[in-house]
Amino acid sequence: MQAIPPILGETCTREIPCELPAVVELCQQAREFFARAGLPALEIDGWELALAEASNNAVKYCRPEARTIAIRVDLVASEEWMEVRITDHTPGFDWPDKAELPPDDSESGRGVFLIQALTDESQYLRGRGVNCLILRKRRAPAEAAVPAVPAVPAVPATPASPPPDRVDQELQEARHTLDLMTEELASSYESLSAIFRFTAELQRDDEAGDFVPRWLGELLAVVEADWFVLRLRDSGVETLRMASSSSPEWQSGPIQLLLDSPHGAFVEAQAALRRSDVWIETSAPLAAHDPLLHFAAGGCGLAHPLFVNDRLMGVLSIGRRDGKRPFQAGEVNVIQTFGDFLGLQTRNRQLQEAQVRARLNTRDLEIAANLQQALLPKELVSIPQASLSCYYRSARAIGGDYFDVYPVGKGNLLLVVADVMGKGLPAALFAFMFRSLLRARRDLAARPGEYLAWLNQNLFQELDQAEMFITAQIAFLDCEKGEICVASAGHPPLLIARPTGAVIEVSAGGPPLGIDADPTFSEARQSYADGHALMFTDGLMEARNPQGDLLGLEAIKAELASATRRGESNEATKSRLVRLLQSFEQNAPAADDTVFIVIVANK
Amino acid sequence: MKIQYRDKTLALSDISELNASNSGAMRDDARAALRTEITTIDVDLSQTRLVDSSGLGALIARNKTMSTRGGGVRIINPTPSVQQILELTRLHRVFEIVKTS
Repeated sequence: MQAIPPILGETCTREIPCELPAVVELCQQAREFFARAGLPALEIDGWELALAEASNNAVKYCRPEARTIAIRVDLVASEEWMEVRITDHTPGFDWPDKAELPPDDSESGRGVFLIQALTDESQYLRGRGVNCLILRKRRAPAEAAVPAVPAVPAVPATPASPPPDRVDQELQEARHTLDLMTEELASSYESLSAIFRFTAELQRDDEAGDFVPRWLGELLAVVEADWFVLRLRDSGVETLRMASSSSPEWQSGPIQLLLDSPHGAFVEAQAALRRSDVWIETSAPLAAHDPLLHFAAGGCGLAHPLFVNDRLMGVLSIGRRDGKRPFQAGEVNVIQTFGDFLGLQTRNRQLQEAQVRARLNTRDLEIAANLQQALLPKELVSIPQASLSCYYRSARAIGGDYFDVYPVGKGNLLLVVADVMGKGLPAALFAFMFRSLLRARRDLAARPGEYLAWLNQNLFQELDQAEMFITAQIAFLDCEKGEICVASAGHPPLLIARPTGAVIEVSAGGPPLGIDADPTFSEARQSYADGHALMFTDGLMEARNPQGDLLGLEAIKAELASATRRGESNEATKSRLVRLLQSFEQNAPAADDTVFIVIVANK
Repeated sequence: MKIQYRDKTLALSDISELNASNSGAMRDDARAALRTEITTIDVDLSQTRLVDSSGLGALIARNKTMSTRGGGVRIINPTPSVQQILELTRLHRVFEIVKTS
């Protein structure tokens, strides 16, 4: 992103009575302003005419009841641009992109054409009974002579050939548009300059989410509003989820974007579905249960949908408690521009993430995934005394969950499940280290607590440096005694279901690895011979349904109890748990890796 | 604004601007001064800084009246900015533009 140009505009504001002679006087003052700003004579004449045309229209078409209200005119001179804003109280009209000339013998209809011919950009912002016309013209460079004849417009430079990657291209476009919008915002209002203190934060990708509430707080101050609600669209889903509001403690569920859903009448849904601003006003009360009732009842405001390249990003709603003070055109303009800016920023971030993911997806990811797969046991060892089934699911191509099973001594087994905090490459690398260390000290297998203490000793420094940690559970299956000896490092409990239906949580141990330099880990012994045991990582407990609820430990315990009561096999028990997981998640994407091991004693 | 008669020509000069607030007056003045023998109106725009769309409208109205009499409106010595406006609106093809200096 380019540097944002500082606001250097010198501004002159005039309020004139709504009558034609006042326009003549205004034009005279404007000439003086433009002359002071150093414009050449021909350009001063051009600006005077554009200003006269616009101001005359503001006078001629003013609503009769608004004739007592002054017409405000702002003249702005910056190094690069000249700008004029005329705020009128006419009913407004449709501003053409490019006005056509009327027939040569027509006595009227050239005003808008002249305005557009004499300026580089024009924008007509319509509000409730008040509108704002913004005219801009780029200044000729000081040293260049003003050509007597208007130069043929230069052919725009051919853009560099687009990169093959569509994401890259779209990202570039989004950045370019952001630059333009930043510039527009910068010139919009001097008071907005406060906001640009935060634009620097845009460039710090890692904190991209944090500035949004602060930004919106600034917007409230700029347009003198009392509240805002920002909802963003869940990607790929037709719902609007709360992202930020002026009352952080206020909670609101997602809004379904379907016309015939009960949410269809909500202001935010309407704005998204109609793709246009929806005004909140006292004369049109909100629908029952509209979440915005919390802020907007009796007040006024605006819900502005955020679209980027036709893609709905979210809806920004903002308003005042005082229903008699609707936003004026200039304020609406700021809100809209600001909202669009936010939408683009959100899109930009999504694209950046996509870009990073795409890059990771190439070589690094392949390597890491291979590494990760290599860590997991190819096949489960079997022993006569117990049967095992394992389930492993990675939330991404590489995950931080790890499990291992290996025989120890005479028919005993060591079972390990671990979860490296975080995902991706770093998590996979720590899983790799964990496994190497684990395999190095099989002699500690019968003393899981000591084992964990030793692992912590050897991993602590690296984990601490990387600010990561590992939760782990080690279970020693003592087949002779029919006992299981368990120690955990900050890990969810091991469950053992009894034929009576009771389910025991075995959670002896200590803190996660990498938290304390020298912790001790306690051990617990339980008989496993008459029931089903389950080891798992928190991905199972913390699976979420589309509503965002957690599966929770109780549901797992109930399922394990049923399996034990029915005397189900290890495989049947595994299938039962997988069904539980799938029916709960209902195709919601898994947020975390999930591992579990079912242990069933052979009778 | 100065109004002079020369034969079949009505000459208007000393016009600093021709805009929404005075184009109506110009229209009325010119109409009042318009004798039936007049076929041409010379509008001297050498002192004119600004002609807006209303001013252009007034000129076009006079031109229509004159053309029914076989004449028209002639623009005399427009200033560069007025010349630019006439060209932008393509009215330089409608009015005869006379440059005497």
